[in-house]
Amino acid sequence: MSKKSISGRNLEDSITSDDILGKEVIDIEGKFIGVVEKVLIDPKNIEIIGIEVDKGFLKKGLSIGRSYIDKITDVAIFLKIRVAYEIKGMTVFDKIGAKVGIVSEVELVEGRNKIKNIHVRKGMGKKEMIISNDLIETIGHNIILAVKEDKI
Amino acid sequence: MGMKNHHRITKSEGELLSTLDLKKLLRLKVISNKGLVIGKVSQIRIHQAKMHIEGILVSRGFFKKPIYIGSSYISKFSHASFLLNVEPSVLLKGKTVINSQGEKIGKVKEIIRKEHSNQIEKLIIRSFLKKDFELKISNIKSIGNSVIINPNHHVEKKYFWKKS
Repeated sequence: MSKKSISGRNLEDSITSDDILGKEVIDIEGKFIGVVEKVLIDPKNIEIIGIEVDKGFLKKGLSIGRSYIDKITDVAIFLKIRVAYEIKGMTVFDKIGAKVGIVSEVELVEGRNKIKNIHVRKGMGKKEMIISNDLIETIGHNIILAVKEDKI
Repeated sequence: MGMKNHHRITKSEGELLSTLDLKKLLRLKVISNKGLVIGKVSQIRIHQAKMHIEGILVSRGFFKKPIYIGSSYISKFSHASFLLNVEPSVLLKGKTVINSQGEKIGKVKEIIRKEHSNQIEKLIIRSFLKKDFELKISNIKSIGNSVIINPNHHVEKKYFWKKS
């Protein structure tokens, strides 16, 4: 028996929150970020504004805005971006490959996926360094800076 | 003998202090262009006739094959490390392969390269209970944490018991 509809449009191609919840979230590099825990809806416009991702046991959840979602498939949700927060814990090398420290915190520009500064810890009991995004040359498996450590 | 106390016999070559002691470059970290620490320099190989560095042998610890990397893939080196201008493609072995839907379809078993260069021609993918299959580089969308297949490429996986 077909369901009644009062939407005024064809809803057959639409997906439901059940189709999104529990799906794996994959970033642009093919990294598995976590699984969708919640679908976030704007109460005024009644529009989906993002998703909340469960990153696993003892890890903080992550909210991702709709504009960063590339596509939703039957199996996963692909992002258009590499999540800036994922650089936490990466090793930072300077221009000549000397180890500077480990990323302990990431500051973003107005909550967007744009890095403003990274906080780098050199070791136990040592002062944290704040490095501006302008000094970062490459972010990959780890971070390579565009300058030598003494120029930070 | 200290470096300050030496005779100098050079023509157009730079002074001693402007050069690096090869011995001090041994055991340095080798880092890819994406910041991956590949291993440590175990040997620096010199071209006998041309008298320049031809390549480095990178040791990666127990049970892992060392990698000989030609100087054309070295971007720079210093007293701190050797920086490469590539991500060695041999390290793709074991990476997860996913299709455009996000399904995990296997892992990289072998990397077929253009001769001995870093250029990938195709990957051999293995998948549980399925036959190995080839994936040409043209059918790969991106290589990062995983290998993502192009949306227009359909992979037909065959089980062991199916005849080809």
